[in-house]
Amino acid sequence: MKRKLIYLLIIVVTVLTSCEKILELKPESSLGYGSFWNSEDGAKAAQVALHANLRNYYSNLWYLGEIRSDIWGGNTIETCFDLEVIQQDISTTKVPSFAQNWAGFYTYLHLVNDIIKNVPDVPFTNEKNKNYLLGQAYGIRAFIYYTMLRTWGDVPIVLEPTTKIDFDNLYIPRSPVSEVMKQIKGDIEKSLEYFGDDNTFLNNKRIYWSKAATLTLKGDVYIWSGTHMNGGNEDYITATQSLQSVINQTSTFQLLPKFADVFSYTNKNNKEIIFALSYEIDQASNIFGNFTARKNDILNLYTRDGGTTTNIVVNGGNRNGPSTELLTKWNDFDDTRNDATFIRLYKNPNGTNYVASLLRKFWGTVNLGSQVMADDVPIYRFADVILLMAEAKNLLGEDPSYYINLIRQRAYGNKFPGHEYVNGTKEQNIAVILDERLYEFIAEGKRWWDLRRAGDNWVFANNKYLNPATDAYKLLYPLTRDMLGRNPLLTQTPGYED
Amino acid sequence: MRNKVFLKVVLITLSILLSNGIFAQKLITGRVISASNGQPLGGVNVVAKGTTIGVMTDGDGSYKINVPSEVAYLDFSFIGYLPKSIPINDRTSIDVILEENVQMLSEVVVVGYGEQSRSIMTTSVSKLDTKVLEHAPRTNVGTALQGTIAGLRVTTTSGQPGQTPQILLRGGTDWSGGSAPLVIVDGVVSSLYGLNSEDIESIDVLKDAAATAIYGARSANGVILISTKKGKVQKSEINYSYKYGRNYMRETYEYLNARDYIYYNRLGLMNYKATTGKTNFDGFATSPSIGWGTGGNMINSVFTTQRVTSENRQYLNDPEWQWMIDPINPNDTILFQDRDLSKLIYQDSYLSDHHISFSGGNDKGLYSLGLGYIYDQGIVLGSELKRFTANLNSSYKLSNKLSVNSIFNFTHSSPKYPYLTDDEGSYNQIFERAAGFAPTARIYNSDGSLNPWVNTSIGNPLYYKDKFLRKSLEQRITGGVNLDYEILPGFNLTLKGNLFAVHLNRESFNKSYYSGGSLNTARIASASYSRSLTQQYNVLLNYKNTFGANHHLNLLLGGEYYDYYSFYMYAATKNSPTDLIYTMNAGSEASGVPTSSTTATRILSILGRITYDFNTRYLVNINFRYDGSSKLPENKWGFFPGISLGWNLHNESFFKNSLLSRYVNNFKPRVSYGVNGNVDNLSDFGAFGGYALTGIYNNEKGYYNNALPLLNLKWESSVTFDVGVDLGLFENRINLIADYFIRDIKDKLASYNLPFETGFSSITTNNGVLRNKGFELEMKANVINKGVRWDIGATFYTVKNYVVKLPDNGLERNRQGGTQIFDPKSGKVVWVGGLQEGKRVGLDEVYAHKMEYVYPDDAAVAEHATRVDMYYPSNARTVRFPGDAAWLDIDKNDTIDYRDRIFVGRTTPSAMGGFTSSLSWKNISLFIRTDYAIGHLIHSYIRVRGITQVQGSQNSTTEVLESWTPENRYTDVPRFDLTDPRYNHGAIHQPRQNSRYWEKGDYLCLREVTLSYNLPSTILKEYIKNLKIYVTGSNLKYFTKYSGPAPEQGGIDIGRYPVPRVYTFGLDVTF
Repeated sequence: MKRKLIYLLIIVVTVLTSCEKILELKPESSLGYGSFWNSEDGAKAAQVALHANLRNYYSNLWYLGEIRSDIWGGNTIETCFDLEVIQQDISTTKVPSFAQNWAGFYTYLHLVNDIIKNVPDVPFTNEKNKNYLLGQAYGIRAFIYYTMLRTWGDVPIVLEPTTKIDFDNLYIPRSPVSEVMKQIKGDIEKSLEYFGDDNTFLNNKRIYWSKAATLTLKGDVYIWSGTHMNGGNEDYITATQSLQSVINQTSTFQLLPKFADVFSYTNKNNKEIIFALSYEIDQASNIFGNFTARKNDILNLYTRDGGTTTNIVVNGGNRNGPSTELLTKWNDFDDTRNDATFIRLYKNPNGTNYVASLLRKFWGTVNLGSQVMADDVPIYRFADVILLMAEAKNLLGEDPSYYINLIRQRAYGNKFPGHEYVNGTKEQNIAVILDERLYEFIAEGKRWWDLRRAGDNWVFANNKYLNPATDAYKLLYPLTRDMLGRNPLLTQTPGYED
Repeated sequence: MRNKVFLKVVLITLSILLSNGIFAQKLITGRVISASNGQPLGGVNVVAKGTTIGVMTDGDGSYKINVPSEVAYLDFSFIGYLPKSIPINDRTSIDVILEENVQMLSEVVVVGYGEQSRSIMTTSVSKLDTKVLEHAPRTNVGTALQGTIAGLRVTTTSGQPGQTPQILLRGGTDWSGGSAPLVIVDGVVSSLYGLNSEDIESIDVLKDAAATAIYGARSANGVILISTKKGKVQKSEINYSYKYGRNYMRETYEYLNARDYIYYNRLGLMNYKATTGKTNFDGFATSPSIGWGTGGNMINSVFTTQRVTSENRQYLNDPEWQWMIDPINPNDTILFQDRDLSKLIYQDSYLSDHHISFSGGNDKGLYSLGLGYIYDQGIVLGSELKRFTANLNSSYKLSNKLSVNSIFNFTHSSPKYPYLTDDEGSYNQIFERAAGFAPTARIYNSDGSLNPWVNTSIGNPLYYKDKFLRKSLEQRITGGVNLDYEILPGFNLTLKGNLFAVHLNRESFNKSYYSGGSLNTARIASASYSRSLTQQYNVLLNYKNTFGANHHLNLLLGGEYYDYYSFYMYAATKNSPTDLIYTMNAGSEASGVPTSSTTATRILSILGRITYDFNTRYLVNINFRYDGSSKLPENKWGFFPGISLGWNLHNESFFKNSLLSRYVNNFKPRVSYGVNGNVDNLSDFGAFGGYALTGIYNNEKGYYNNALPLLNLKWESSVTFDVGVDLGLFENRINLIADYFIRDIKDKLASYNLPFETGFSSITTNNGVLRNKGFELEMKANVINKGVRWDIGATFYTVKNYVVKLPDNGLERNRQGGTQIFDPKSGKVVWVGGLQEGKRVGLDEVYAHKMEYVYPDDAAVAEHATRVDMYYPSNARTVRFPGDAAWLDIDKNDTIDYRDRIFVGRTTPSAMGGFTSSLSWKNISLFIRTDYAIGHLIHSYIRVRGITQVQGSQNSTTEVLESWTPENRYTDVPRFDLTDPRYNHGAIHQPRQNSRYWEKGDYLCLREVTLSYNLPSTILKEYIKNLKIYVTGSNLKYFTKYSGPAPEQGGIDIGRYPVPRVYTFGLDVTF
């Protein structure tokens, strides 16, 4: 009897264990959690994701860097977007969508941190490739935190990927801006360390983060900390050194002779690009559809020189228009950047009765009768380095006119004579550099950062909607109630408390 | 005590074994037939009264029984029939006619893996009155459940033919109030979609956990058991039924005519300028791109609106054209056309439904075959359903002990969805945008061609209706074999194997089309294919016996293996040379990247049930199920038991002798407790964590971690406590079934909102305890039964959801989500909505600002000169204008901000149910069915979008005519401003909402009225057994105050496909 029971028990146990096996299903179409970081292939897939997912944030990066400046808010054919933000109507009630939930950056940082944590343990056939990937990851992390610092000031610092949810340690407070800056500078150094002397581009394409991108970022960051965080000359010198090492790569980086060629669909990956995000037909479209128009809305309008719109193929929306102030201020059409940036449209062929403008940058190509927004969009390009250099030199009390004139020469081409810039006072130089950057980088997500980097007074001087006496707190963004509600350790950005 | 019971069992068993030969015997034979149709009844229990001796009738109703000579009566009992006790009186042959028990309280109910008479049932189960299925045409059986089953909330979300309604049992087991019941058709896990209602014999809904526990995993949301028609012994029949119906659109919004449209929008532009000081929309007044802008022309502009000039002056007297003085500039005259566009999206529509069935059988085999074809043209352009169904049920007795049953169901359906939509998804481009487009738009250009309007999302339905070819074909096949073997008397072994396969094929092709003024010639052709296979195998051992005279015992033990696998693929090409070939082979290059993917899940189970009753007085039912799921990484197994007790008080002698029994002839209190498991909220591999694919970057795809492994997840379990009573009053003229239930969903698998800093906005976790608490009532009554028969029925159901427990997260009440408002009672700012321990689930709560009145004039505005409004521009927060809304300042701090919102209500109904009435006299009968839901709020985006004019050209409902103007100062409709920059009305995406746009959705729907006539048999020739003709009206009217045509679903109405009114003629003939 006992023996029978034991047999029975054995049978039951065998059946149950085989049952367990039956229930062990493996996914066929997705990667499991445990197996990902075992191979170089996995790390390479993460390297693609590092860039592919950064592209998802381009819209937020762009809005944070430009929409609140003096460029937009003018006439549009359809109801315009973003008017409230442009007019600085920002409060805890009206947090623009691109600034909600930390602009989603922590989701992206999880990916970056995952790479930084795991890649060192992945066996690579060539150690150089591993270091290159880590150089990219640290560089991009610095770039993201720099964007966050400029947006919110104090932000929580998260350096590890989340691997499990621990309800006891769920909440992280905002770190002071000085800590954040320290972290950014540390990441920049780590990035440069990993890149070593490798100045190449991954796959020979400038759509991947590179050492030059980190160097440019470093210039950008140190000018900021020099101005805003009492870094002074020491930081400006660091900035010029970093920027100079990009300028020194004369065979890799050049200003293209024609401004429009920088943005030409057929001229991607050109020598002016330091780091751009990739957009291709059937892969992804950039965000500039709403800066064009629908074809039938522009049919009976005329361009500046009285031409018709017959040959312009667009099928986006007209939701963002250049501000009246910008159009009035920038009526110099010897500057080739002007027509290469906007197509101004008028009701009358003689150039009167202005209606709206189309943004000429980044509008891709025509594919099967419709416009495809498949232009790469630069995050950093060489003109940026030149003008950052001008900024740093000027802040150091040196003459920046050489760098300003490099840009102007390209902008005016054979009409350059008469537009040469001669060194002025520090303040005059700043104003000129800011203008030069404005005309150079319209729609490149720079202007708000440029004004901010120059100093708060420059923001107020260039923005009629911001009053320095009452709106100083608005230079940073508020947190939404949802963000505060999810994390009791978060405090509201000063000035926005209600 | 235990020993005594044991002794009793032994004695009973012995007595069964020894009963033969001890006493004097007498052989009695006979036959049992049904009173209703004269057919023999198999399986009837025949028991010698006062003994344990019993037999069952065979397939042709015959029985043989040896009874001791002293036995005076034979008892005949059979599920669904009234039992009879017949005196033997020295006879050796006794034939019996059993009468069907038509009362609700003793009807036969299909329960898990078997059936039961309600008279001995102890759990909460509802049975559909199949009258509902008889006449009204329906392309989805789910609609029959609306208002007919207490405890089910059935919401028709779309009038798309074939669409399955939203079905929710007892408040749902999700925090958000979701989760659909498990649907089982003839024992196979399946779905309502594609079933032909003509093939259905019965629908039963298992509601409490004690009933559903036997289905274990996935049954927490209730189980809908559907049985299809089976053949009957010696009853060969051919039945043909035909329905023809006309579909009609519902009354919809009344929009402004072109004159008012232009007038108010131009006024709205001036209001915008005056109140914001902004000039950015000035260009709209003369724009060709705006419905009320004067940039139109005589030839082909989207809008006809234009300024009168010397060139078009001659049209001022043309009856096709109208003119008006420009309110912006009284020196100008505007010329325009007025077109009612709101009905362009509809088409003339009908349905036709054929069904033929063959059934019959003998004592060896039974069969029933049903073939159906339905064509239902939807009321909206492009929508239709063509469906062919076949259903075959057959069984055969291979020997006395072995029988085999097979089921086969095949559905071949090709639904088409409204133009512009690929499936039952978003309808707002049709119902909001196209139907509500500017009435000044041009339908035809001057050369007779169609004007496409703006682009696909704001397009001319007549132009776009044939531009996007969409084909879909779905085939569903259910097949099953069932072997039944009698191992020993009373012991039955059943082996079951079932397959359920779904194949869905979709093809789409975009012809070349104009959009936004340019011709899109991409001609993208695509095809997708998906298939899924569900396999289910069972071993069931059943033991049934009667001990003594009164101990009825039924045991069931079984195992189940469930396996689901699905595969999906998609590919597309572009640049086909012509519009004429829609398949991918004509494309010259790939469009996007082809893709395929798979997923799978498995469940292993052991299940069992014990049903016992003593003399049909004391009733016990015990269920259990032990389930293992592949979805859970570590805690794969869960044990889910259920127990229920009932007491047929009316069978007690003390009750029979009491005064009460004169009025109450059926009184059964019952109580049940049970546990169900649920892992539905987990995707197949969702708990394992993993790396997801990115978009394509430079021709490569990457992987990134998008899900954390959730190793310690465990089964969600829902524990239901149910008390109920079955009541029969006045000789069962009135039948009542009432239930009160408390269901606790523990370890609720739900997403938990995380701080964004974690990199995840939420994760799935065992997130707290949700409680549903509610009450259900089903009533049937026979009001008149004297020549004229009038029966009425009613259902009522109410449920509330509570948050019992949440994971400790350090916040007050462990709150998740929610929003803050000022609470005048406590004088504090409090968190409301979301999830908070001890409160009702607040995810369906609506908070909005309450408008007290509209400032009529400057004097009224001056009264609030110091009042700050945080929604106004930051540099002018105290500036307001006549016509603005005056908001309720709840915290009396002279500041209007988010704290000043009020609780408006909820988006889910608080109570629902229905009424039926069935009146018959001789061969004529009239059937009426209604259903209702009350307590849900709806925000009509169509209405609000019109009055906020956030699109620019959209038309508005005539409500605008009542809006504030200097001439119409005393009104409760604020000023009409272009884009509503001051959020006086507040579209749902704007920062402020006005509570007046959250409308009550309460409705009573006149769902069906049927008048039918059975031709008297005297007229029919002998080869026609029955002929019935009838007319039916379906979805006739919603009695509701909601402004839109579809009031059933709460929440935001961005445009819904309303159910059509249908008038049907039907014919039903049996040979």
